[in-house]
Amino acid sequence: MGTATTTAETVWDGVNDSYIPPTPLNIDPAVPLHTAAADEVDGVDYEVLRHALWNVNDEHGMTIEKVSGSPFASNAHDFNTVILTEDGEYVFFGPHIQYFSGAMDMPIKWTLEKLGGSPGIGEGDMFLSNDPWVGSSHQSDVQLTCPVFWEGRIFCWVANALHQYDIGGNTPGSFCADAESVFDEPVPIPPLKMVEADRIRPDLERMYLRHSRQPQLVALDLRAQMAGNIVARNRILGFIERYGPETVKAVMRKIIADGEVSFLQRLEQIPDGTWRALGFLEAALPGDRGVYPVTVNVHKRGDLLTFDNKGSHEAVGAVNSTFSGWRAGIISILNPFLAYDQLYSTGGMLRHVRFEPEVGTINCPSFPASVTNSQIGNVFGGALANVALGKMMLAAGELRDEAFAAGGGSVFPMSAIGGVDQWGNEFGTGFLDPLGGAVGAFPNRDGVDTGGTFYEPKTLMGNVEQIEQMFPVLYLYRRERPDSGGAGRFRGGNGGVFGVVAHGVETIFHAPSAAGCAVPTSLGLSGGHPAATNGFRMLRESDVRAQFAQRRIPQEIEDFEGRQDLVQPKERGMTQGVDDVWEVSWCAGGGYGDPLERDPELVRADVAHGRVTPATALAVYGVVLSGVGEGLAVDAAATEAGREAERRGRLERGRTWAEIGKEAGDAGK
Amino acid sequence: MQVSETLEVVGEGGNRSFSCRRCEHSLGPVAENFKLTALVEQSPLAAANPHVGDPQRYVDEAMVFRRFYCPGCGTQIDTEVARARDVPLLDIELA
Repeated sequence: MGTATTTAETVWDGVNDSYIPPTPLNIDPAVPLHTAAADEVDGVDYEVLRHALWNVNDEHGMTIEKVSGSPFASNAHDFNTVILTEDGEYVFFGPHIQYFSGAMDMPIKWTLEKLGGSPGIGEGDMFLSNDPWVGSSHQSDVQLTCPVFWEGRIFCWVANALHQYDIGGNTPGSFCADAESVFDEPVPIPPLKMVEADRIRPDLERMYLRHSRQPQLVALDLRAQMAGNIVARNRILGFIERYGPETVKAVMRKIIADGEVSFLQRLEQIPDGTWRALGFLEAALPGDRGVYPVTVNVHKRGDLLTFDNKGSHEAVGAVNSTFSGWRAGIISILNPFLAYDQLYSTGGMLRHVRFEPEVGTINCPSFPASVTNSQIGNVFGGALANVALGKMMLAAGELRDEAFAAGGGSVFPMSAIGGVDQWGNEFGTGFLDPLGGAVGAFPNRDGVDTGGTFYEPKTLMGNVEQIEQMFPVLYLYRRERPDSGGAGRFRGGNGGVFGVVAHGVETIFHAPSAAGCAVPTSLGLSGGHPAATNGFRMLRESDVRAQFAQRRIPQEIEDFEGRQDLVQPKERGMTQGVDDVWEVSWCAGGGYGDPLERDPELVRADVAHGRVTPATALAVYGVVLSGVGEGLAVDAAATEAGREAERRGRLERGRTWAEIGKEAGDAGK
Repeated sequence: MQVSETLEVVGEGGNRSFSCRRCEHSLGPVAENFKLTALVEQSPLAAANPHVGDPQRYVDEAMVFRRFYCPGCGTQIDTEVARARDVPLLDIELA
């Protein structure tokens, strides 16, 4: 767990500043823990139980999908599950959104420390929480944690976090773009005993649902989360009955220990050093025109990785993410980089990872900063960890090819909508299409076009037909964007774009909340270029109805007549009328290496398949093509000559930093 | 020792330096920022990607796209997005 290295007066208790559990935990003696484990485990039993425990998380997730009716749970799988030991050490993350799980050990440890005496932790209890200062990615990702008891003692924990449809706050859908503090946002709830002896407490549920514009869906989600925990709990109890508690506990211990050994073996290949990533967020609030630096720095020394955020801007507006979100974002990247063969077991790895946040920053704000837009803060923190770890891995011998540039989920462009639908019901939601993402380029191959977000392996971008069924919108198009992936010797995966009109209603209210619209956030590696930015566009008074009357289906916003409004990354009070087209585009994957070193045949294939435009093939990659269609071919001689000329041009145009800095007046700064 | 697609470290102890992996041109001691030895082309942010527009639509800060070239062979060894007023990021520090 992280150790803060900030002012001595900071108290890391989840009240004014984030909760950072002490080592060891101060668990109330009244809390009975099951700690006994067999000294040895049969190899076959180990593998059977290891994979069985992994499948518990998968079945846990499927239960949530089946029971919940919300678009986030059922269509997008915007949740995750987790199994932890009796004292809150990770055994397995589930296969969905990784940073959800990366924040779930903290409320469990908080519960063990704070609630063990009163109200107590009993068999059949479950604890609901969404307090980002205790441990949550943001308030919308509501957690339900469940102790699994065996013979009167806590044997382990199962838990889930599920993005709620609407959990309150000043904006339908709960992405509060103009929140100046947490008091404009959904109420953060520290862990409370929502379920007692397998029954939901009606008094607490009424209070909880009172916050929401869609209490019936949130109530269903709560039952889905509860059902998921019960399924997971019963599966583990079944294992205990069959194999014995000491054997199952020994398997959990060994899963963690094996993960630790594997992680240390990888660390041995990495030289000691420091690698830094710097990016920028904009639009802290609607109308704000500032730019705010965000950093993730990783220090490798011996058998320890330490992350800090030195250089990050102080907390500002509505782009902050608390420590738990920042940490969870980094864990989400560490996992696929350095523990990808451990079935998402992170406990062993985390024994050798420290987090040292500077308090009061954009990624470790104090209460009561605005934190509900953490899809910006913690996800971008993960993207920067991706860059810093990518640089580190490039120096790591045989691990080099495991590195990759930042992907299409570096900052999520949340397009929140709301209003009254065609049946007179209030609605509020956000488009999850940008979960289609893209994967950044590798040292030995291209990234993946709309390859999703790699730390959200089972999450979906949503089915258009289902979205249209649930909300008053009609999709005009959803497709990949050529050239959006970062250029390089290996190209970043392309991202996508979609456009919608209102359907069956006169007006839709919009509250977009994003960053990465002005400054690219998916950075490249080793000379690779950044990917496209996020973007929002509103075309007013278009001819969409006339085109439909002519039975034409436009493929892009440029196919319409109309007046284009400049939409800022964060807006409030924006509406869409019946003739207006709303378009959202999302960032893509960063590139790897010098674009002039890309195999010209790969560029030709990209152009042939519409992934790269002919203009970019020439201007960025220096590839001269001739012919069209089947006859498209590389002019090898002209390409080589052009690339050599460009390299000479670089030497002529390039200047030393001393010259540039002198002009800027800060040489030697 | 290779430290990126385009950079390696040569020499021993206090004489270690960054070197271009394409032409072996020296890019300065490992204790310093290799970007200060490289050639720099500083461009408007739109040069980063065809879908990156003018950031002034959204922000007041002057933002730039920097391409760092090997002075020996012109290979693009790194890129960065930065505020125009910032020095290049020291992003690799080997112990």
